[in-house]
Amino acid sequence: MPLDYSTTHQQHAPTSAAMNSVQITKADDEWNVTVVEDGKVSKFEFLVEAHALIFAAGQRARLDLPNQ
Amino acid sequence: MHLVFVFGTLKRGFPLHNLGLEGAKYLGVCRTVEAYPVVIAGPWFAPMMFDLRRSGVRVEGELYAVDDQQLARLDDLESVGTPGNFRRQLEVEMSSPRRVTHAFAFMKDPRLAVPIHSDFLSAYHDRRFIPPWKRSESVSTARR
Repeated sequence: MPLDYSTTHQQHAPTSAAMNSVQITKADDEWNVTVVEDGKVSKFEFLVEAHALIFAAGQRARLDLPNQ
Repeated sequence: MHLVFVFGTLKRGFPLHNLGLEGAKYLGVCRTVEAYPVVIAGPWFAPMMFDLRRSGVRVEGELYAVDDQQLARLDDLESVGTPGNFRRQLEVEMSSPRRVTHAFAFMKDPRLAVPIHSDFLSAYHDRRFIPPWKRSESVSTARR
């Protein structure tokens, strides 16, 4: 995959489909996108803010969430 | 008449200009009033704008007046009506004469932006775009 995010980490959280979410956070020199879908948490790390933002927007569209 | 803001390959001197804007009236250079994300993305290095107002940066482009037929041609060229391809209105600011107006812009669903080749762009100058009529050639070259 040519996007610059690194390994995807997945874990399960006590959430439901109604609590799907996409969050962007900055950590040091990286931008992290956390996707919660049907209780499954996936984290994607990006080096470029633009890539994180557009990836997150795509995930929100996929999950039918409003863009922030 | 309709106003159309173009920021990428439809600008003067870029590959789709003649195809999309022949006969259109050029009104001048302008800039979006609000920030929008524009990046170069996809297998054809296309400049893409996303309907994510206040993300990214203010974007420079050109403003044109087009008639119904010319707008339909642009819609066709930009694949409007197919999944992930939209035409939206935004506000642009012309520098000379200084005024703000609404214009159409062509935008993409962010899910089409794979892979992404750039950071946010305030102005598009990239020359890597592969126009539709060269794509089979580029694919066959890549396969060699």
